[in-house]
Amino acid sequence: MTLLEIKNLSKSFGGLMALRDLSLGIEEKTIFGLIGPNGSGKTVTFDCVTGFHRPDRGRVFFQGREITGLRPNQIALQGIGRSFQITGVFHNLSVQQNVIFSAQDKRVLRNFQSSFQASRGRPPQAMEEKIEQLLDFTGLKELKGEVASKLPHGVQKILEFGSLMLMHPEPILYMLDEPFSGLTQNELVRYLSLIRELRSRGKTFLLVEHNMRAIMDVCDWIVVLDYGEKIAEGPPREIQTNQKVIEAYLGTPA
Amino acid sequence: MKIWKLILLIAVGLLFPLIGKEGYLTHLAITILIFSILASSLNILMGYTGLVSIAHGAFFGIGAYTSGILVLRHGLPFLAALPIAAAFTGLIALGIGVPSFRTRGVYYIIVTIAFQLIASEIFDSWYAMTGGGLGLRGIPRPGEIAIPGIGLLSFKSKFGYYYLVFTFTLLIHLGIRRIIHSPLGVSLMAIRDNETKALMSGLNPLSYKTFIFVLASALAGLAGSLYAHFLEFAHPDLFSFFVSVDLFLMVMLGGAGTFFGPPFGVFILEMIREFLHEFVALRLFLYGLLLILIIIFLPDGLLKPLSQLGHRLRSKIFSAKEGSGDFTGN
Repeated sequence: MTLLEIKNLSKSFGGLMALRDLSLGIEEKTIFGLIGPNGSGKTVTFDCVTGFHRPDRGRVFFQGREITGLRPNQIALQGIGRSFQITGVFHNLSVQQNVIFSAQDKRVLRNFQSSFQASRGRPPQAMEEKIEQLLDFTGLKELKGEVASKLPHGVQKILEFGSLMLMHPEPILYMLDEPFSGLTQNELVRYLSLIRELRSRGKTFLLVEHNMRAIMDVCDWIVVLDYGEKIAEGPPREIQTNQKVIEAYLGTPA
Repeated sequence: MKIWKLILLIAVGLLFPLIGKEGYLTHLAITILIFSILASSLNILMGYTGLVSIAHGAFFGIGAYTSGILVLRHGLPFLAALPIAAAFTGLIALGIGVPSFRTRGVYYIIVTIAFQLIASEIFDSWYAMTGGGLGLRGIPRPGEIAIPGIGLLSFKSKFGYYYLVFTFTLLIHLGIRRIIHSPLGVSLMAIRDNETKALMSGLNPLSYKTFIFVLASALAGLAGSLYAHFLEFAHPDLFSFFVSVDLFLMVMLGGAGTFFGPPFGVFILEMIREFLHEFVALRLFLYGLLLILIIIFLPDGLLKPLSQLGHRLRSKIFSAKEGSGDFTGN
């Protein structure tokens, strides 16, 4: 089944055409890569899907329902978890608070009420167990008291990813914008294994990434953008030898 | 913060009027308590949500005038006027908050300044309602109020009124502390740290900002009511732009985003004000200088570095284990 479907998406900023009639479909339980040179429209695609930009034309469907024009918070609650190029953690909160925030209810009046209940808004038992499990799963357990800004870059990336997993409702689709940038080899291996593990639990991934070795290694299907247009699509093996793709990245031979 | 410190603080607060009696010290203490409510409510905005507001003095004034007018002209009892004043102030804040949070960063701060100036102008010029530059005179202190389980208490004296203000200050601070350590508090800090990420986590920052802005302003309105009935007077100068700047300074001085910092900042600034009573011009100069120095050298405020210094000194003197309690309460 197609989980995310993008139909004829176009977006321009001033005179610059950032996306030109982009269509693609992401099958359930796949790891899908979106690559292309800088400025080819990858992040704009993410922004249009997650509601940060309103596309000029085109529609986006998630699980068969149209999500075009919804706000980012509404889209998140449909089951899409997105990470950001500039690492999205809450810098002055501890690792544990970061994770708890992700898991907790997002309604303001509900949260206000719970401050004055007997539980003082502490997470219920079941959620605490989930949080513990996640900290174990991501290897963040020993760091849970640390303030996020004090963590090394790579650990922050893992924390960001970990918080996504605890979102409520749990994401079905993970959209990760350059998740591997700046990771050490060990961190990269760990991150990749987390992605594969989640996929085996039925999750779907859309990755924007510049680390070609990692992307070719982990993805099932890749779409290549150049100047806001899709220039190629296929399994990694085909993409690697595609003449158009090589030209887009290296330029045409004179 | 260890529990015995909190008990000590409350005990000192309860026993203070025995020293201050009807004198100036009690007057000063009441002022400090009322301004603590103001600074701590502003701190929820500035420190925990990252919203600087230079309109807190205006909301303080709206509460004061509303309560004063209700009691003076419409004969409402104080205990009815106080919550109405708070609620009305909150309502005005809702009207200001909804459009102003569409703007961001520095533009939003300008909106709050503009609102403060408009409010000041209204306090000053709406003679029929506020008494304009003459002020609103003769706002009565509450007389006898029946408290269930205790009996009739009179708040006519400073001694009595002190306990009324103390009770409100204590309850409000306990409430704020609960909020800070609840899912609401975590959400506010998340918005402060990274609004985009908070949004993509499924949260609507606009509703959080509006809610907390209304709540903090309502608390300022409540403080205004307490203040007007304490001074038995309301005047535009008591709620001017400079009061808003004072409050901003108090929060910064004590430490934005720490629980005990802002009340501490109130204490320090009130002391400075006392000692420089005669030199108004010098006071403004000193405030300006203070603000610059804090922003450059003490971005965390005074309390955090002071308590860290205290810990270091203590551990040096006793060469014992470092105390775990942090006086900032974070």
